[in-house]
Amino acid sequence: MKKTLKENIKENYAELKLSPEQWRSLDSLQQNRAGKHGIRFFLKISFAAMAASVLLLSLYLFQGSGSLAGKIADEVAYNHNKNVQMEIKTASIDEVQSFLSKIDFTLIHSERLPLEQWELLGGRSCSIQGRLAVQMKIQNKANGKLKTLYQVPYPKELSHIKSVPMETYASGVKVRLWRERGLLLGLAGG
Amino acid sequence: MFSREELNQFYRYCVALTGDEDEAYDLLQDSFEKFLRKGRDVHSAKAYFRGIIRNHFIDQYRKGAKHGFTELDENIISTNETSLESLIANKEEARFILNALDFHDRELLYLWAVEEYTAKELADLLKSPRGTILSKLHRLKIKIKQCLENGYEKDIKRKHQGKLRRA
Repeated sequence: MKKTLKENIKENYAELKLSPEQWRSLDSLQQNRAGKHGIRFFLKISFAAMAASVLLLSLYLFQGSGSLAGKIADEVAYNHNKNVQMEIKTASIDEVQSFLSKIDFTLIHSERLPLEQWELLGGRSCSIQGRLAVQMKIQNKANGKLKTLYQVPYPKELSHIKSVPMETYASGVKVRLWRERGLLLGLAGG
Repeated sequence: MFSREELNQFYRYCVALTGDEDEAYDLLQDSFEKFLRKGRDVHSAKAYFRGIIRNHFIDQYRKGAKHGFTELDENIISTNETSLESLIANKEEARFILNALDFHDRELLYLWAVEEYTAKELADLLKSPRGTILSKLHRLKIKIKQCLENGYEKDIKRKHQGKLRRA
């Protein structure tokens, strides 16, 4: 029985195949490209994921007006800008601790603010988000810049703030928040 | 990543466009490099690659014109897409037809016969209205019939006479 044109056209094309050399050449092209593309794709995805994480974390921690960290940053900046007088002027943290007798936590020397570089000028009690806190004036020995350091027992709600400082700006003031030895520390000032 | 069979399939499509196996491989290789350079994931890699092959081939036409374009007669009355099914031809005749057709018709015949696209799918692929595709299929049928009735017989006779003269 005579075949249709369609069947013969199909058979005709079915006989056409790449030679082994041609196939190998094309396959090596796609293998090489797949390797390069895979690495590039991985790097792109990793970078995008990292950037997105940092952005989202920053937004979550500081920008949302409802977030506790954001509120604390606002309050720390506000207190810093008020520049109120210290209740006790001293270079000793132990003296600040003794003077502020109502304080129910132990003030610390932060590892991030070494005594060789920073000098304590004095301290006073304050409140941050309704919690009793301490603010201390410190001065950079090299350039004379003044900053305000806050210490308050670490709020459980802020479990996402770790020992690596989170930085933001509130009311034009640079504010860093970090966790250290069970306390939440806030540093305000440019 | 394309399998060997998939690349063979693209190679056949390139043969349908160029009508020549060497030119088909050149077209496939150039298009494949272009496809890989894009270096991105696409929703339908096969359809995307087929588009690159076709566009690259048409670009070559426009630049150097190895092959000619055919004016399309849109006034031909359209028919249904199965009208080509009724054509009978042996293997030799099928080869003769493929050699005699221009690339437009050869591509259409390949996509219809080998890839078994419907008129609707052909319309989407070739970016033409379905009615135009049906007209082209009808026109192709007439051309193939004429080819078989006149051209193929003449060709056989010519070859036969050539053999006699050499003898």
